[in-house]
This record gives sequence, C-alpha cells and structure tokens, in this order.
Amino acid sequence: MGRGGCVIAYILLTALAFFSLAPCLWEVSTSLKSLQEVMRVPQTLFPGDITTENYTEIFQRRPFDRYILNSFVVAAASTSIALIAGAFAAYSVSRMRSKWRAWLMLLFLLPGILPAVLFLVPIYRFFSSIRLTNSLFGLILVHAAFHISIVFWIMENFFERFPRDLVDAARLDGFSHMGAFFRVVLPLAAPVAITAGLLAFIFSWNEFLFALTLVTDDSLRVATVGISMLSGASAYEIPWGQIAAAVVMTSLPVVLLVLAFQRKIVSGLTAGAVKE
Amino acid sequence: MAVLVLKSLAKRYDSGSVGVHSLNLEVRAGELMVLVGPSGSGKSTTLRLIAGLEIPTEGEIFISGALANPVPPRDRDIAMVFQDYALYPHLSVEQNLAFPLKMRKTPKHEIRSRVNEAAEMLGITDFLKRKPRELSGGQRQRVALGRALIRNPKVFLFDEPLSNLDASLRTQLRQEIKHIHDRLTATMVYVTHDQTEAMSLGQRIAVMNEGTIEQVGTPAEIYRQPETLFVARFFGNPPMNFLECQARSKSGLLEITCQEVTFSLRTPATQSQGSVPHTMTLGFRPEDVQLGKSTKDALAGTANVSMVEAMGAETFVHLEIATLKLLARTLGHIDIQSGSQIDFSISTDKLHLFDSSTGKRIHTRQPS
Repeated sequence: MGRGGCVIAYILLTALAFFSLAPCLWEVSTSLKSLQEVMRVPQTLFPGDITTENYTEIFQRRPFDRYILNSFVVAAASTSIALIAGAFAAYSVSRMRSKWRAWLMLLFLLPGILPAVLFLVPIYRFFSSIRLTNSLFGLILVHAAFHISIVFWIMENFFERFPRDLVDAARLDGFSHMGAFFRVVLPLAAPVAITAGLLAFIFSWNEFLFALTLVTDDSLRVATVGISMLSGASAYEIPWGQIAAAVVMTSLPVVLLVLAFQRKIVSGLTAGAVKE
Repeated sequence: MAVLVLKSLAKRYDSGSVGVHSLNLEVRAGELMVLVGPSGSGKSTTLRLIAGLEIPTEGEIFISGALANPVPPRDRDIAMVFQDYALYPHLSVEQNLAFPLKMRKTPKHEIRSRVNEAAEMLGITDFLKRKPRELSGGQRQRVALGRALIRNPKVFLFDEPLSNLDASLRTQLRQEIKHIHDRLTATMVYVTHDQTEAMSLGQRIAVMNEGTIEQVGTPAEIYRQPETLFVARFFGNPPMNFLECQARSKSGLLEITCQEVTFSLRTPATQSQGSVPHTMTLGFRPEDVQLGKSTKDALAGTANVSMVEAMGAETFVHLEIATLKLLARTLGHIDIQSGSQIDFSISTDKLHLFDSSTGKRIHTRQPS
C-alpha cells in the first residue's frame, strides 16, 4: 500500500472506531450530567457542570453494588462450570474417531445458534417445578449450559490441531491419559481457554432475558436487569443520568478484563491458524 | 535389554479400516529391527501397539517374556521418538530431558548428571536453557533422542524420526542413532518408509505391506532373496527389472519363455510339477546384468542400447529388446554409444522367480 492509501485507511479506520465508540462516549458524557442538562434542548455534547450525583445515587439509593456483585457471581461461576465441562467435552470429542462425531458437534452448536427465547418457557417451567427460579444457582446453571457451546467450539478447534504425539509422549513419559491432559494439554491451551472464558464471561455479564425471567427477588437481580428497573420519581421521569452511570459502571469491569487479557485473547483467537 | 514378541497381533478401527492383521514378529534382545513399508502399511500402528498407545483388537505383546497387553504405556518402560519431535514447547531443553526422570521421582542430583551425560552424548549442551522453538529441526530431534535415551528403557521405538530433516542431516543423525545403538546395545524398533534408512540401520528388517509382514530378514537377505514380489519391488534403487513369463514343465525341468522375446530359461524347480504356475514374474537387479559377454547357464541375448547415463562411479545402460525395456548398471565408466547393439546375460543364480498370482517367490535350485 502506498503512503496515500495508508493515510486514507487510517482516516477510515479512525472514523469507524469513532462510529463504534460514539454511543459509549455519549453514555459517559450523560452519566456526568445533571438531569436538567440531560433534558436540555439543544443537547450538549460534553457536560457543562460535571456532576457525580448519578453515581452516588445508584449506589446509595439503589442496591447497585449488590446487582454488580450478583452479576459477577453468576458470570464467574457459570464461566468456570462451562470452562471445565466444555474443555473436557471438547478434548474427548477432538480425539473421537466415531462416525457420530459430526452429529455430536452439531448438538453442541445448537444452544449457540437457536434463539434463546425458544428455551425460555420450558426452562422456566422446569425450574419452577424444581424450585430453581429466584436463585442465582439456577441462573448460573442456565448460563453455564449456554456457555458450554462457546467454550466447546473454541477449544475443540484448538484440541483438534493439538499435536497428538505430544500427548503420546507424555503418556510414555509417565502420565495417565488424564494426567497428560491436565499437565501437558491444558497448560498449552491456557490462552485459548482464557479467550473462551472471557467470551463466556462477557455473554453472561450482558445476558438479560433469563436473568429477568428467572429472578424476581430484587436482592438477587443482576446488573443488566437492575439497569432496566431504574425508574424516576414519577412514571413520566426517566432517570437518564443514572441509567448512563449504571451502564458505565457495568461496562467498566468487562473493559478492564479485556484490556488485561488482550494479548492472550489475540493469541487464543489465532491459535493453530499458523503452523509454528 | 529385552526381547519383544508380537503374537497374532491385529488392530481394526471402529471405522472398519484395518491397521494391522495377524502380525507375528520377534525382536531379539539388543537388536535394531527396522519396520519398513509404504505409508498405510501398518508400521506406525504396530509401533503404537507396542507402546500401548493403541489397544490391539486381537493378539498378544510380550516384553521380556511378560504379557504387556494390560500394562498402560507409562509402565511398559518404553521410550519413543516421534517424527514431529513431540517436545514440550513450554519447557526448556533441560526440563524436556529431565521430564521423564522427574515423573519417575529420580533424585535431583541423578537427574542433573544424566541430563548432562545425554546432552554431551548428543552435542546439545549449549542449548540446555533454550526452548524447543528456538532450535533447528536437527537440534530438536537430538533433544527428542536425548529424552528417550535418558530413561534407559527396555525398548526404544522410533517413528520415522528423520523424515522432517534434510538429506545431509538425515545421514548424520542416522549414523548417530546407529552409534547409540552400538553403544547401548538396546532393543530398538525403528519405523521408516525409506529403504536406504532401513538397509543402513537395520540389523534385521521387517517389510510391511497392507497391515501384514511380507518378509523378515537381514538387509542382505531382503535384498538378495526377496520372498515376495512386493519386497523385490520395494528394495533397490534403481529398481529390479521384471519380465512377465510363461512357464512349462518339461521332463523335470522348468522351461520359461519371457514375453515375445525368444529367450528361454531352463531351471529345475524344487516344487512339484503340478503346483508350477503358468504365469510367473521374473526379476533381476540392474547390477546383475552382465554386458558384452554371454556366460553359460544364463539368461542371455542381444539388445539395443537406448540410453546411457554416466553417473561417475557407475553407469546406467537402458536396453531395449523389441518392446521390452531393461536397465543394466555397471561400475565405473563403460564405453557404449546409444543406438548400438550389445550382448547381455544374467546368471541364473541371480534370477528371482515369483508366482504372478500370489506374488510369492518360487524357490529354485541350480542344475546339478
């Protein structure tokens, strides 16, 4: 690419990045405005008087810290379950030579491609009958079931390309099959597992449908549902500033997590793509 | 040193494909046995069955007289060197070497001295702190060899360890493996598809084809007395000459006429006349073709020289008799022009006869 082309590419990429990030910036800006300024016409791009009252409101007048903690518990627990179960499933399927292998893989794909709403009523009715509604554990199970699909597909792809000789060498060097999996395969799969885990965590963190339906107790609500439940002093007042503050507070952990692991994510997503 | 015995060993996969069937083989204590054959002939499967990495469908494996079938790979006391090195990428060379010893809870000071000893033997002392990805292919395979050596196992298995290396490195490492075998006199099974590697390394060679062993023998036996057409075709570069022939029994002798060319051969068959097949394949090695002279008791004739390839140390002479094409190989330089006519002969004791339908050798004896 010539110098001119390079400049044009940069301009286009910057515009694209701005287009994607604009709603986030708008959200941050709104969270720092007072309600009067939010309602003012014409709208202001940056807050005239920066205020943190929206942030104090959501934590002092509403149990938003509780919501975030619930979100964290659900996301972390469901991701852990999905990672363990998904990695085992992915590894065993990757070593299968059966003709049923393709069907089994398709089965793992289904929860990921079918609309979640399809499962909503059956799961709700089933969970009601075994008293798993209104509990974080129930929500964790549902999230884990959906995440297994993501974890399975990412890790199966990695395990399939994983050199079998390495596992065989470990088995001759003194490991059982399981030992070789834990001590040789898993340490090398760490970047891929982190990527799969992060994706699962983010999905869980953002999940709304099941969180809204299965949990009605306010103290058990997660952040996404908490945000939707934010209401003003009257039915006619929408607390935009607080909603924005809640959104920023909810997004922050995920952004930090991705920033912390971004190198691992890139290496995980490209694992096996290029032969070393 | 251990004796390794395979008895009626078979492996069939769920998909229906057959890895090996009814394999019988004895590897003597301290012997270097080479399994050679084309890809898909079952040699790697055999190796993996010996290692315990595959479970046999039928048959038994004995290591030092003890039945190994129920023993998991880690307890068979076998070390294996793989084609793709199979070094642990997250461990340094030193840790890779020490790994099998650490797993066996060897004392630290012993691990250190054995790592150093193996590293010195293979000339990798300078790379001990490096990760496998920082090494060249040859260096990686040396480390893999070291990881096998360090254990001092009962049996060494090699699964095409030199296939990924370039020709000069292959020759060099081949010599080193031979040297290591001479030094340790360990029982080794070496798999390769390369006939040169098989001939130069093996004390005995087992030639495999389609999941079975065609012949077991010393390199000289395999080359001089191929028991099947497959073995005769597989060994030799340039390959053996083959002629399709018709055989007739005549007063206790076997009269053989080869294609439309009118040379016939009289050789007594050891088999009874009734079992002598009508069609047979006659083979002889290019170096057994004598040029410019005709000896007694020989398959002989006159041919056109179609091409002469002077290779320096040897000369390949391509011969044509009607539609028949033959290759002769002579040592050094020979003064022949393309297009000229030349007498040739092949002594009867250099001829190999095979039953065309079964591919099996027909044993003959010299006329008394």
